[in-house]
Amino acid sequence: MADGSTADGGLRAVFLVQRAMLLRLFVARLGSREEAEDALHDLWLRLDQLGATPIAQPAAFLYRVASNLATDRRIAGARRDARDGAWLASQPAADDMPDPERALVARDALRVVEQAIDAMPERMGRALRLFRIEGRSQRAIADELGISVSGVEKLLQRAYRILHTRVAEVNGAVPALGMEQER
Amino acid sequence: MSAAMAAIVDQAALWHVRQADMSADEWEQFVVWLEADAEHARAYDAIAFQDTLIAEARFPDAPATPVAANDDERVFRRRWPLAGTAGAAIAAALALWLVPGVLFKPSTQAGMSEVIATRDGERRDIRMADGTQIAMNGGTVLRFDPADPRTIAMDRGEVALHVVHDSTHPFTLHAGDQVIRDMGTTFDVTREGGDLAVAVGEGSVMFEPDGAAVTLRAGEALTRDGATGRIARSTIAADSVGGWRQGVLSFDAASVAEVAASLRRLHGFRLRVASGLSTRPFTGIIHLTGEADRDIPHLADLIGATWRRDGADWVLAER
Repeated sequence: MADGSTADGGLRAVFLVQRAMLLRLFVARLGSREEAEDALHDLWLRLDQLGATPIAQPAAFLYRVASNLATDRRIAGARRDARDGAWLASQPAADDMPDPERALVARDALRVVEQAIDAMPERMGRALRLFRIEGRSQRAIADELGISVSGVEKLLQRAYRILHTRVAEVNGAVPALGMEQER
Repeated sequence: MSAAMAAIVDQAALWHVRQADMSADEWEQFVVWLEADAEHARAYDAIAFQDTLIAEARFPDAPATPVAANDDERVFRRRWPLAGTAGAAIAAALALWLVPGVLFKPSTQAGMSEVIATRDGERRDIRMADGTQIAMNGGTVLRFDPADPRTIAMDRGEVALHVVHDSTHPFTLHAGDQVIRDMGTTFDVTREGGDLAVAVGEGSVMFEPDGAAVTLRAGEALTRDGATGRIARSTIAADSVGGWRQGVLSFDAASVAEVAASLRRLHGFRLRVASGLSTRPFTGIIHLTGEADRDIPHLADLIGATWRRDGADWVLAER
């Protein structure tokens, strides 16, 4: 990126300053030092393709990208290895499930989420759609719904809590994660 | 769930909904919170996964379908997939693909060196760094400039897009010489041969902003005939847009050849249509399982045709 060397160098500098904390984020999210190092390296390689224009808050931006990367890795890992992936299949027999059955479990999770959204109070569902699907800021959602920003935050928090509870119930009260093997 | 666990889930949810606006200091506090207890990390992990499901979920409060477009032409011959409840969409969430890039600079198609392609029957979901999500149907070729996540070019195939709106950096899709500009939206674009179809599920898009400048709102669709250049507008069910991801296709006076092309794209079926049958119009809804030996006999039944195998191919012919 010929015209982006300055800003790019800026982002690299920010990365180096935040490196230790970014690594801690990856370790906490991925549960494995080795995979965290790998993810951090991945992030470093991507810096080339990230901002060549000034970013208002470069450090916060790097954390957001890192957080998304971590989630993508968790999903990929869950798919690759059911032992890792109570996300996908928290049922005890998940290890033995052939792929189509595992996909079925995943589809069930989506159905549970859709039913939970359907059952939400109208305003909560709307806030969730504006936030997650349309990518609106809490400020913009507050304006649209005519409530305070902290009201929006509470509404969204409750929405995520409801989804978590519903998915956990359907998964038979097994907490939806399998990270303990690695810890 | 214990009260302590419930409190942890609440904290995880709060961290999650704050992330878009968190400062570097708050991110550090988040990391410290994650590290403090394995249950914290576990709860956050679950929230993050459910978050990806929300992106795939159908919402009940889709915007109301607006007044019908003043379409002076009745020949609306595209198929519009209907959203079904049997969601295979989770496959999408599992194949999220992070495309980095936050650069907003003007881009020409010439700079679009990165190519993402799907084979017939293959699905791929892409998430751009700005949050925009692109679901690629099979048989689709997209190109983009890694430095510019707000512009893509589609050589062929079908995509459903959830665009994160930014009025200062509109999202632009190039389909050959045609340009579609998002104005905050969910929409579907199909390009087959020279023909182009655009359907809007939420928000609006502008077709050919520097030319015809046709604005399409939720529940509106447009087709452009590649041979004649004629543009036809029509209305559709807004919640059906991008519904091919759920495996339910709906056709409105589409030719059997178009139906076959849709099945080929979505599931990779090697399906040929005998010449006498290919132009016959078909109107109806097809629920697909993805298994050719179920779906093709079912389709033949629906359109009143016969089917046979020819090596690895399937052939539909008149009765």
